[in-house]
Amino acid sequence: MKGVDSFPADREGMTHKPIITCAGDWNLFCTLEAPLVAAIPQDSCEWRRSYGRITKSVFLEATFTKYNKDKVQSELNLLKRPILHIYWTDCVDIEYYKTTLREEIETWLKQMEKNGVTDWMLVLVETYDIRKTNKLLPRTTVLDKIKGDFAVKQTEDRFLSVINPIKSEARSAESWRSLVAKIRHFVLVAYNKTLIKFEEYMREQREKRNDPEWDFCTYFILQEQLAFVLEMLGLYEEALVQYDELDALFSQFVLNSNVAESPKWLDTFRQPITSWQAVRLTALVPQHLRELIIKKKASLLDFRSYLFQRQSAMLLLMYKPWEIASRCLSTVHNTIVELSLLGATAVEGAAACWAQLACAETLRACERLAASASASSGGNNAVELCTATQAPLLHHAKDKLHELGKLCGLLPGSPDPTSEQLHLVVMLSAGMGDSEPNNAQPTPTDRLKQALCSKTSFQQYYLELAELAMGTYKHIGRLRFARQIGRDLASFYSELGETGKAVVFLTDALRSYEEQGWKDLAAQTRLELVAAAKKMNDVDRYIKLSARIASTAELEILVRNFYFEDMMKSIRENLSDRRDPVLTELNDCFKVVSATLLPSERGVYITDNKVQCRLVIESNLPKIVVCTQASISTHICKEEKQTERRTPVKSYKTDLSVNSSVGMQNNSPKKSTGEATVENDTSDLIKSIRLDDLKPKNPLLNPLHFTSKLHYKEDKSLQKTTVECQNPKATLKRSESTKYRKPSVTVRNDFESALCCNNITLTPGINEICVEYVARKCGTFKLGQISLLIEEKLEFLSNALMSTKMGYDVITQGINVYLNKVEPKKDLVAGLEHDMELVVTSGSTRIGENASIHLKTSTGMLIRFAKDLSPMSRELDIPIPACDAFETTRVPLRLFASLQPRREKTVEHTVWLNCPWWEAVTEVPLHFSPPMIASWRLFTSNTRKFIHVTVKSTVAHLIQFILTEPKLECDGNTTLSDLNPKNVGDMMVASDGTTASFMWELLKDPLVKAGPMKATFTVQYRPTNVEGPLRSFVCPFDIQDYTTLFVIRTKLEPGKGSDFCRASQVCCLQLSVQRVNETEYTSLMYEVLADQTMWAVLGRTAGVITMESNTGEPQLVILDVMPLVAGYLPLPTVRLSKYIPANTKDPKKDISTHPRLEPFSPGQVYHAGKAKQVHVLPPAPKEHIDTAS
Amino acid sequence: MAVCVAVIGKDNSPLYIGGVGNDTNTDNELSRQWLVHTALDALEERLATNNTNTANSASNSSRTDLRDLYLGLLYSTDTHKIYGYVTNTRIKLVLVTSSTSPSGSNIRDAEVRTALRRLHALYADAICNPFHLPGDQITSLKFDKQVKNLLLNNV
Repeated sequence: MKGVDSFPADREGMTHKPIITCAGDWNLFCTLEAPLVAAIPQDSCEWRRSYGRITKSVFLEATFTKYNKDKVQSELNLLKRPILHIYWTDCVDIEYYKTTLREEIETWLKQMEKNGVTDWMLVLVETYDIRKTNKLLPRTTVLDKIKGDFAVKQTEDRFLSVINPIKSEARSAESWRSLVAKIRHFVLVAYNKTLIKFEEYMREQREKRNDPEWDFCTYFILQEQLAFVLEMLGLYEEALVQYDELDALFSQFVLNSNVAESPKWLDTFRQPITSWQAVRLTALVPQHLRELIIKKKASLLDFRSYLFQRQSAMLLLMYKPWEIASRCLSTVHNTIVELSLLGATAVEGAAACWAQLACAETLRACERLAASASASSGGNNAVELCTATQAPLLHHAKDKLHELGKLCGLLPGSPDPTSEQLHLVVMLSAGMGDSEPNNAQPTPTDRLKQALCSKTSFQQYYLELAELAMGTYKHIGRLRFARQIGRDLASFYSELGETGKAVVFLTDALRSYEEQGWKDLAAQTRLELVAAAKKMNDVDRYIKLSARIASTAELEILVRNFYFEDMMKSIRENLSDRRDPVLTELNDCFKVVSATLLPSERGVYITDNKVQCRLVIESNLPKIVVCTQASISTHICKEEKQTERRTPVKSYKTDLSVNSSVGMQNNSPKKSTGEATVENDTSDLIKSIRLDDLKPKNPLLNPLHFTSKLHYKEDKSLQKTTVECQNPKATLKRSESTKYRKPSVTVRNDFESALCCNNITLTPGINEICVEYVARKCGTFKLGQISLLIEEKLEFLSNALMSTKMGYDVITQGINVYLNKVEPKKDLVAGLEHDMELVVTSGSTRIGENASIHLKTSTGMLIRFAKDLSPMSRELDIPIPACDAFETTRVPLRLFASLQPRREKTVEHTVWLNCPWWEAVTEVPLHFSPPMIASWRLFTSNTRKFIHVTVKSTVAHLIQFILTEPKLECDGNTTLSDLNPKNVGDMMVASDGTTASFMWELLKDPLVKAGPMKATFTVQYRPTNVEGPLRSFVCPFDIQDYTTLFVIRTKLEPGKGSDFCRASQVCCLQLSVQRVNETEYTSLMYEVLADQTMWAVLGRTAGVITMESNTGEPQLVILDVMPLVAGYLPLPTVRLSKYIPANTKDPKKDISTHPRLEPFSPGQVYHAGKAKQVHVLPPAPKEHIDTAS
Repeated sequence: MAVCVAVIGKDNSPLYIGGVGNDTNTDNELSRQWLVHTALDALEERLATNNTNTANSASNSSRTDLRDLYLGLLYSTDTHKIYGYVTNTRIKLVLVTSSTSPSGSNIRDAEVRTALRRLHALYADAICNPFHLPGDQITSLKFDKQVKNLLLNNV
């Protein structure tokens, strides 16, 4: 007995103790009673029960009464019935026993037997005598005598002797202890028997419950006895079971009464309820309620109160206050349902009063226990458990108080209580009864009475309960409950006029509902919020919420329309004098479906041109709304570097190389303003987006990677086959709650440069808006906030596009100047006039008046306008007419590059353009090719010399020239004889391979040694297709070492003794080298270069000969050669070289260690037998040998 | 039997709320939604304690296997009782009975358990639809009809 029982005043509750009667020597017993009563509860005793029930360790107490044989013991009353009978005696004299005591015992035992009592004891109190211990014959003692007379085998242990502890304390301890233990044991044995009997009876009674005469109250009192006994034995849990059984039985009856015929006894509980006193949660038995039950006058509330109090008492004794708290609510709920089921009449609010008080009392009891528990160790858990159950109690108490307040007109905002309401308060207070006396703190009854007295005290109590309930809910983590109380509080505060506080609670609740997708609840809360905003006259909030409500699909259209109209009205009335619009979240009322940047006509967005974006927006508003302005803000994320634009020459060079490599055959420069650098960054910008695509992909839609596996045992036999999911974590991963949090737009972006569109009508559903903007600056822009301005004063903002990389590039297309050929397929040919044009494209800028481009050419190149026949010049000013953006001006020009008397394949020229838009001068390189090329050759015939000139054209495209007046001029005194035909007309040369050849003979005294000679070939030409002046083509060339020095002659003669040369027969090759002109080279080397398939040279093929400088005699060398085949064979050729022996002076090296060969120029050695052939006969038969020459 | 049945997703957002009532005005439907919503608190609390229990007896694997999906009475009010059930994928099923109606007040735990099991089966059928995206609200008319039937059938 702990806890509540520590209050001494409560002790009276435990009135029931096992009753033990005492017969025999009452005086003797009186001396022993006090120590016995004290000794019995000191130790526990094991209670063994039949039917296999759990053995419990039980502490016992006992009350002793004098045995009264007349008192007939009712079997039914467990409590008043003596449980054990003890006969006390201290007789030591056998004689006395025989004469009187024996009879007395006999009558007592007979009475026992008569009453069917088997639970008795006989105690012989002895005084300790040292002599007795030595006695050898035990039969002589009185106890032995008594045993001998009365005892049978089963009852032998019921006879007991004990040494009087009063007289000799030291010796008695053991016998005394055994006595007390025996008493405990027999009491429990007795209880076991009694209870089994009782339970049987009880069951019998319960079986009769459907009899019309059966009465629940009687049965209740009957079964409660069992509970009392169990409580008395300290078996609170089992006692509680009895009460729970009764509770369940009653509840079932009440529930059944609704569907079936209700028993008569139930009418008791239908009586009008007059009292709704608070339950008192102590271990005491509320006797007045019990009396009422016994008298069958208890009302339903009385009965329920009693039952709950008893159940709580058991729980208190078990020290489980949290259990009380959790039972309290269900009891209260049940009772209220039962009240309505039974139709018990009561003052309105009585049940609420009772429920409120029950909750409050339970809370008080829990607090009391928790306080005492926190002092003791290990109470923390209990406190926690209590707290967890307290929150719903507080919640319910609060609700019930609210109900009462409503009934009694105590709620804020309600008019003053009427007289009926005041009367009700009096009635309710009376029904609550008087509060407990001598209580320092106000009891729940006091508080409730007080609260019902005035509005302020009601409000105070209500708020206290509500705040406490909310706090407790939050503490135990039941946030949803806490928010619900928050909503209640909000409406309370709202009625109280403190709308600000209400808004805080509602906003908090709203956020949580939205986060978790409870749209209906969010909508409802929003309706409450909007009412609060209206009350507070918070126009901004009101408008925002109205807009949101108007677009909430969950709400009824009438509600939405109402708030829509009200919003519009409010905007017009309240915001007209406001300068700035009210900002709100766009996604609440509209949905951005997609945004697409329309491609520009020119592929890129160019400054001073429109950038357009098509925005698809779904309007959730119930009606058509006029959007004053729809816009998308942009922000520059990369500004184009201005410096680059100002120095176009830098980029120009690279640009040209790109053009030439691509193969554009115009030699004009393409002028760019450096857009190449920007283009690199545009690739990662998105042009179009559907916002649905941005949503994270549902992970549940991803395929699961399942693999099947075969597992083998060690002996390669199959052990098992499994199907495994490779990454269950990825699939089962908790979705993050962050995705529900959407960033709210509070900051308005800079809409300075925004794509805009004005005055659009947004109909409910899908709308397509095209917003546009004229780009002023170039650079990379990203789309930012979307803004819809409604009625000029309500602005919806969305950051939906912020996270996307949606954007566009704006570039400036500068003025481009090109110098183009009119016929781009044809090469530029020097020496011809070409049609060219200067192309000026204005790009995105305008070209103003009086602009002119200054052209300057390199030397040798002339230019003029094509239109007028002004003379050509090296410099030209070209006026450019004023033109608008993206226009092109062409200025035709004619260009002529003079032909230089050089023999180069290409002619390079440059044109410098000086434009007013650029600071630097633009360089245009031009490549010209010469119209034709002349080549010459020297031919020798012995000592005569001829010059052959060939003219051909290398121009890539087809071009034909007519050549006239070919002329070759030589310097010095050399004369030329013209061998060209004089009357065949003009020669023709063309680039398709047609060539023209000319021939002259050098007339020169062969004996005069000639030095190097310069010759110039001149010819007049004119393109065949163009009538024009003849232009002259000049080609200079040098002629050197052309004088013939040596003449070689070769002769083949048949071998000795034969007339003809025959194959495979040695012949004789005669070489003769004759000097024909003066020369310093006397040492010569000859080499016979014979075709090895035709000739075999026998012996040396080469040799050195020395020419005498002063004689013109030919040198003869004879070689043996053998023709290998028959036929007309060309003679072996002979090469003659200058032989420079070793150790001679060398102009390059001082002394050359090896002999060297140096070739002669082609004209210096004339090979007279070069084309000669010799007839070789096939090998002859031995008889006749012929030779031929 | 029941006045309202709700299927609540893993993330505690409602997937389906169906109710029958003698009065079909919005107010009553809303009040049931509040009940279901607050029931989540009790349900999560129950799950948390269940989890710690199973964590304590982690070695006892058979216990976790036999974990009852039915959570029993979550809480009650004067007028309603709210029962909970949670599937292995944390889909929460909530059933609300009215204690004021004769049928609702007399309901047995076992009946609620069976009803919730049937609801689980119906839910499983509904989401087996290949066109249903898990996590979306259940809009199947068939499911709705079946659930309404479930609510009424047990009266």
